[in-house]
Amino acid sequence: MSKRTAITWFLALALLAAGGAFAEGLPKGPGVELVYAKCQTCHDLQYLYDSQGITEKQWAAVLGDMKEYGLEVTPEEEKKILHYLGTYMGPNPPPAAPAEASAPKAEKLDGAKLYAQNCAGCHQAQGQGVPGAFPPLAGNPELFNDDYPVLVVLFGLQGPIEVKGQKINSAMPPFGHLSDAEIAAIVNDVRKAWGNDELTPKGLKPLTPEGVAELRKKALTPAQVHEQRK
Amino acid sequence: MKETTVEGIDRREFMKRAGATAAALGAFPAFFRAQAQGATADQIVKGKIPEMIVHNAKLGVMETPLKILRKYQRTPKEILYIRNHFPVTGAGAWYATTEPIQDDNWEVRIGGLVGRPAKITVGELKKMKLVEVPAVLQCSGNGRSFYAKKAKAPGSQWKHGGMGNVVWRGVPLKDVFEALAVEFDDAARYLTANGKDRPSTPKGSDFIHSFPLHEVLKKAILAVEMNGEPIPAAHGGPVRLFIPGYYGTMQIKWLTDLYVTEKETPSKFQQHAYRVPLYPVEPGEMTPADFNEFNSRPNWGMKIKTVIFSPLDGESVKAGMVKVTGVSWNDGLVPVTEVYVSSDRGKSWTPAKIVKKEGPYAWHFWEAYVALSSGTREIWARAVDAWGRGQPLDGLARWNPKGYEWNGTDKISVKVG
Repeated sequence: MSKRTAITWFLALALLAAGGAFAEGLPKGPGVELVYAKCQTCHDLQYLYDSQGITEKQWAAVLGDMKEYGLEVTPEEEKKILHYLGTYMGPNPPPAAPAEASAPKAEKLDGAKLYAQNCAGCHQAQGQGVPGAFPPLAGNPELFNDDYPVLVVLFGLQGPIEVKGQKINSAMPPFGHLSDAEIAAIVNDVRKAWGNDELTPKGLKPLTPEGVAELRKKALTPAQVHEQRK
Repeated sequence: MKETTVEGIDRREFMKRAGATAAALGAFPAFFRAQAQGATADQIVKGKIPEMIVHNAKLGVMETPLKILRKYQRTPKEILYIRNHFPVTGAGAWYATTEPIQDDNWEVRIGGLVGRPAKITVGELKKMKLVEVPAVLQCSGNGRSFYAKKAKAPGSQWKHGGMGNVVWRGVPLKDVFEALAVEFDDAARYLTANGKDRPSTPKGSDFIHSFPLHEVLKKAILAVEMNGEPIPAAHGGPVRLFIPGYYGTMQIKWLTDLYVTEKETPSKFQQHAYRVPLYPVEPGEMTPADFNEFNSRPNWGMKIKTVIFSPLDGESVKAGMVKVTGVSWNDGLVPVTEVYVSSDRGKSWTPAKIVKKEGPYAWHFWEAYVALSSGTREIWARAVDAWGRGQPLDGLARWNPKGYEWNGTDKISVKVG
């Protein structure tokens, strides 16, 4: 195969992969970030795709079931999730939103609020985690292991880890659907919260959205992120 | 050296442009999300074949394509379906394999309304008299996808492959209770069982089930072997409660606790999931939260059911007398006595011959010959047992909010040339 042919093939495959994957993502709409954050704690999104098309009443019943199985949501979050599922995963979803609809807003982002929405479901409100299942973020030195925490948020993590003497072999889903600015806000907040400021190396500069954008180009797999931990 | 594409742009420039295009589509995050979730069955549970249909990677839920399932009279562990309720990652990673768990010190505790608590180890069980039970293992959600013709029921859209025919070997529960001199309180009505799997979040309901005590005492076994070897971790080893004729959800894996109780467990998996209404309901009429002991029942004994193995839906066959094969089974309380096949959408029925069965709880293999002329033709099959229990001509009549216990007359479509 000539190099020219090889590159053409690469182009075709890349577009194929991107196209196929594109169809896999949840439809964009208000509340989708809550679905990504909450539902993947216990199961992956296949369960949602499989149930796609059921009525809002059925989704309400599913949410009711999930709360019994351990889903932790506030009444406001539940309302938002239900509205999203009933609308975008219901029998008559609106046509796909144009790409620019997802562009990050210029407003000031509240890292603590974003943490509560996206991360606290597993890592808990005070960053204490759940023993054996979800690692603590409070007092976790890996937060300052170079770009590692940003890569975990962007691309997820798969493989055994040890945090504060606790062995955990779990998987974290990627949160790459969050914008660069949102990820920067969350990481900056967690690096300061719950006494983590005491672990912060002197002179560490706050993470910028541009910094996240640069790391996003790495396009790692969750297993490759695990490699970066060493 | 500068590499050039057909468009005449160099490689570095191309990569930049391709990256920008994908990023503009928002495709990169989606791509890696899909990659994380697009794992094949062998990557999710060690020892499974990659051809399994994965319903949920994180939970290790998978079904067997009929094309593969039909090849074996006894379903090998490599292709047997899995339904778990908690992740096979993290705390559950130890059972993400078809290898067995070698632990003779594993304990099963017995408590509740008994004279005194007792326990028995896997090592002690193995030394007792073991019995063999060839039996169907079937998810109560098997066939859920077929209900979508009326209204989709939420959950994994199982086709027919959430089942298998395996041989269990273990100690009758009755013998265990006798050996341990377990006495029951007068109020004892149910046996309640729990296994070692735990919910992902601290507040989630644990996966626990209850069964009528008198019935499980008659037929349940504490199984330690499946298909002649220690039970694979993925299928509930080292010890699994097996109640012949019951749906798979009731066959508690990784058994640690047996309680004798007056009522069914409050676990939501018994109270709101794994139940069907006692009377026909229309979509929207009832939700799982409405279920109670008076309007619904748990998925205990399996409904009589038939699945056509050959030909398969969509296959091409030659016109003339066509051999049709398949399997039927029920809850094993009485024998499956008749299987009928129709090639004219139920106007007339040809009796099939039951050619093999390894026991009352196992697949009953049958075969029949029907005349098919050219065109697109349907083949239907249904069974009846000695109690006269049969299968509805239209399975949608038994639509229920969670889409359980599908047992409609099996209907396939073939191209006859």
